[in-house]
Amino acid sequence: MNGEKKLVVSHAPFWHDGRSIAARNYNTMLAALPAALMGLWIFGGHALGVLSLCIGTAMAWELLLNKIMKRPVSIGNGSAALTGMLLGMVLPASAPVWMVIVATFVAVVLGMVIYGGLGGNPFSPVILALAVLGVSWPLYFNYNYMLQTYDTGFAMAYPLAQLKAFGPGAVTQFSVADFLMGKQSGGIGATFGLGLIAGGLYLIVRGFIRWEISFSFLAGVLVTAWLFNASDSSAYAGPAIHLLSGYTLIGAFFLATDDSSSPVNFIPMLIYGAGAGILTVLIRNIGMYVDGVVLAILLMNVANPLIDAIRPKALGKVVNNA
Amino acid sequence: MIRRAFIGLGRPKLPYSPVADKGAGSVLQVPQPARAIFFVDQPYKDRAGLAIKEGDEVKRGEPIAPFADSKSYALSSVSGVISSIEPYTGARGQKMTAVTVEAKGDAWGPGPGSTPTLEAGLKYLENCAGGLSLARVADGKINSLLVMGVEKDLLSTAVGQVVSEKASSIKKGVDALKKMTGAQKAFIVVPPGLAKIAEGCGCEVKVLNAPYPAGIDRLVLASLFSVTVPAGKSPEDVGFLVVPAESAAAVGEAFSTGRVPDEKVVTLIGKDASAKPLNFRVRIGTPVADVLKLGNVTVNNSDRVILGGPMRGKAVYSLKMPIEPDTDAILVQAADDLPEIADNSCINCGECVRACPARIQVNMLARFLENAHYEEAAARYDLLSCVECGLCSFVCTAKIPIFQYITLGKHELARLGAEA
Repeated sequence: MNGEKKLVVSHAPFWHDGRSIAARNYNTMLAALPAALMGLWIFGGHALGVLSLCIGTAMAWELLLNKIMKRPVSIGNGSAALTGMLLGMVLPASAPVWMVIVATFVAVVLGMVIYGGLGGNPFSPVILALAVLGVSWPLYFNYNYMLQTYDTGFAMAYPLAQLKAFGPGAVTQFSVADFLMGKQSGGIGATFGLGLIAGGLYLIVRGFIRWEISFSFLAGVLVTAWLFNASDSSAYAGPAIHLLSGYTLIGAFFLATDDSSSPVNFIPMLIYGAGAGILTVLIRNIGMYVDGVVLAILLMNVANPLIDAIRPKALGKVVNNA
Repeated sequence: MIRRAFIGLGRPKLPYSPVADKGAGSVLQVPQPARAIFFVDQPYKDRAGLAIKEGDEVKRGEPIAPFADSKSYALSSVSGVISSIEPYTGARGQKMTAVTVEAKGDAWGPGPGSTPTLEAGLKYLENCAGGLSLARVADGKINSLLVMGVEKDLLSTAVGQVVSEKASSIKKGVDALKKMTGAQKAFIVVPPGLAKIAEGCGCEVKVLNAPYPAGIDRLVLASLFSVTVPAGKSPEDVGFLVVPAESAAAVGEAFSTGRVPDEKVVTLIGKDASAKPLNFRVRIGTPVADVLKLGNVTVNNSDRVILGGPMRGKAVYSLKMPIEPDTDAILVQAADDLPEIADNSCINCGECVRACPARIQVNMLARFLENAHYEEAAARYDLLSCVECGLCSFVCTAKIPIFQYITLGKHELARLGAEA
């Protein structure tokens, strides 16, 4: 080998199409930005504090755990920041500091790191944190209570709470246009319907999320809500409010599509999305919770490995019908 | 390098390269090498088991069979003297024997004669240009020949070059192979641009108009013939003998001239992606350095030199490594053009599952392979269905070397099977 060039040797393939985990996460954050900014515009400085603290503490938890577990520092790939950002977007603007820190702890540490980090998590970290906090401190997710001091210039009654307490007659004051333009009560980044839809479409077109999950989720919500409404329109509201208020849109485009906890095959994706959509409306209409998105997605996360076992037959696979 | 498009829906689109100028004039001739290396697919045990020794003379086209107890051989492409016989480990852990020949003179050795018989084929044509394998023909199951007129990998145009200039030799070769194997039918698979020329090959022409990896033999059988090769089996098991177009031409020339062709066509793709790849006619066993020199490609430290294409080739550690019978291309990558590989865990984005032409659950398979559960990977997640196209690694968001894990898994599985 004297005087020979030292060549790099590795296994095929020798090309890569250039995608990366970091690009995926930062693009998802970019897609979520319009809705987050609208939240900051509407809810003001406190919302900025909550969102920043969420992103900051989520990254801090991951960094701390990286150090404790003597693992390579992984906050650069943006997954903790994305988790923090999405979590901030589904919290009320008046969330106290301790609640934010507990929420990011549950999401990042209990939701992701203890399973071995990104990719090992069986639940969407944001959904898990919301479920744990929502069950532990339900008052802090009561938007009518949390946002009572806000004067935004539009009706600040939480649509889903009104619907639950007083029936469809109480929500006739809300219009679709208001929902789309963010003129509703809700999580910091969960109210601006148009922004969430635009972000979701961006992610779908770029191939960062799987359209099958988002679309089947929305279809599940639409069809189930319509069926309820058709059966008894005096007791159940129509699909519009179910689609555009609460966590439905952010759930469809940002939470249900969490890579690790959702299926990858075509039919399982449809089952998973539709299942979460149907459960959402069932919980809202006949369950005890005001918003069903969190628990619906959590349940489908649990079912994911089972659903994703429905898969096409591999090339050349021989099935012995003994 | 082909980057992912801004719009990310659907599978990656990787078209095969068409042959630009057809005809013999566009191919550059590489001179006879001073020294050639040949690999024999048998492990080297000790000197006592050798049937040849350093100093023995060989001639062009002569089979070099190094072992007393095995018929395995390599065809010499030069006339000269054997200078070394050494053990060699292939890129995928294959235990082989490397025979080096110092060239002297230009004499031809004995040939297969003019009567195509299986015995002559097994004695003189095994692993001839293109990488023909006749070992399974004796099982008597072959009823069709599948001549592969499509490229094995991206960027290469060597196969197209051979088809466009050697249709009549392919025809002779197909006729000979039919007699040797007892096959009744012969098909040639070509890209659309070669369909007209391929009609002169004496086969039924099947046009393959699909991007990579549709040209891999198992996928061709599935898409054009509706024949599924069971996982872990080979096309011979379902009655098809896969014949590289270059091998078919070599067989045709061998029986019409009495000499086994010792040259093959190789595409050289340099570091400059915009430059047009060149085709070379080169003796098998020629060091890569000879071709690079003629093609004016400079190689620096930390560059990568690949035999074969960007998706399925193998990187070599030395420019002394020879052109092998099945080497269709040489690809040189600059040091700053090498994609990064990482030890991230799978994030389950599902890109590999959507890209896989064999419909394997690659996301699950990778998990089992990473943890060395090879038998379970084969039993539950279809390790042996893999057609080795490399698309899973190509699209992997986490940059996991999935294809490498798959190769390792198959290798370990074969080893476990051999021990059992």
